[in-house]
Amino acid sequence: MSGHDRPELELIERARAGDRDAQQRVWQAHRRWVAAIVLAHRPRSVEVDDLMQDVALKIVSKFSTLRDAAAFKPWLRQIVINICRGSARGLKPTLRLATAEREEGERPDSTRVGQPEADQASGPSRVDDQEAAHRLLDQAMTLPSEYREPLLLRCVRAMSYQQISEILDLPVTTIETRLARARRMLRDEVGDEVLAEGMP
Amino acid sequence: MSEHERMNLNDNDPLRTDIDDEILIGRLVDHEASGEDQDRFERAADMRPDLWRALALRQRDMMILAGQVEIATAGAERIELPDGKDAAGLILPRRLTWTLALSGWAAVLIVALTWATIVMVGGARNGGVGEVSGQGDTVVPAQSLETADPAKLLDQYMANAPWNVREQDPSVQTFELNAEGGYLWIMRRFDEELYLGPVEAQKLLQLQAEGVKLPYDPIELLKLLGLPAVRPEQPGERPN
Repeated sequence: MSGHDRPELELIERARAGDRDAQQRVWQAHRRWVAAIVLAHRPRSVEVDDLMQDVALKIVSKFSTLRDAAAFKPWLRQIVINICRGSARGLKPTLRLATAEREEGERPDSTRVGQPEADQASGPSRVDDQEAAHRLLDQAMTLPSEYREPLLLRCVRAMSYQQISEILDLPVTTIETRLARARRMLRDEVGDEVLAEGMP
Repeated sequence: MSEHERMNLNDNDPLRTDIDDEILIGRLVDHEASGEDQDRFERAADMRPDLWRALALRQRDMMILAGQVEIATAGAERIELPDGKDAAGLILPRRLTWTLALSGWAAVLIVALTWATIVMVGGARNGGVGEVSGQGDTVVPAQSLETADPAKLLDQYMANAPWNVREQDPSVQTFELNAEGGYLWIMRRFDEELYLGPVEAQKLLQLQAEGVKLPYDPIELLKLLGLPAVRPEQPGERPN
């Protein structure tokens, strides 16, 4: 199962041979779905961007180990998964502030403004929608990985079943079934709440 | 459904009788349906009108989920492969991580900017929003790049920036080894914390209109805040 057209295969071959420009172009063409794989497999406390940096570092040195250009996508996917698993084993503390409160003794921040007056009519609804959307993603992240991965890949700029099957190295029919199950599970978990607003 | 798929179904699996409908709905949602698929769905929905609702729910779920995944993976577009140069004159690709915190109706936005490295000369303050290059008050005194000491410039930036800048523990990554030694890749990461409200978000738009390259589209920021997202007119532009 290849799915690469001739120009893409040639580009991957050049990348494999050490052509930096080709490597960069290959990366740029594939990094979006790589980020979806990271999202599907990362430890919750590790940022997608952090792991993407690690992936970028890793594949530069790994390109020469790619045996078959036609197997580039599953090869890259496996690297990503290995990095995600490795990050789970060696979690490092990260500096993150998740609240608007500042620690005592810090310099006053001239950029900080008070909470602006909200549009009382639309503010809460907008926040509710955003919270519901976050919940949906959170719920998707609890699905088994064999369902989570194709679902998130499908969300990446509408990847086709064929493209997803190439990455996961699975038949298209399996992808269809797993997507169907994933959506059904998701809907069963979320229920007919805010997401179904406005529907009969 | 293939025989392989059917064999994987548990006899007690509640999805057993629905999986074909779900696959058909999935094809419609994903724009992978053939004309025959569409006909089959309509015939099935004639007998089971609830299938229309199921289709609508799946479409909506995917639309929302795709939006969330788009946001979660947006940073990937800014991550480039390292090119192997040493750190002395290198501006590394920078990542931008946005953390949106909403407290009830509040629209206080906490932005965490993480830089792999920073070389700044002549950065300007503009209501607290920094620029990589620009005119006006300087966070770091303007110096010639040829004579500037990057480490000192960075220290000055961290000491004088009007927002919090902290450095995380540097991490060392072996990049390339050969018989004589090799390139050592050292990752230094800085957290910059800006508090932005709607006023500052509008200022970002103005900065962008003035040609400042921002790591994030202010229009998207304003949309997240639920504010009107209209770009200021460029000089010489006609309004739409």
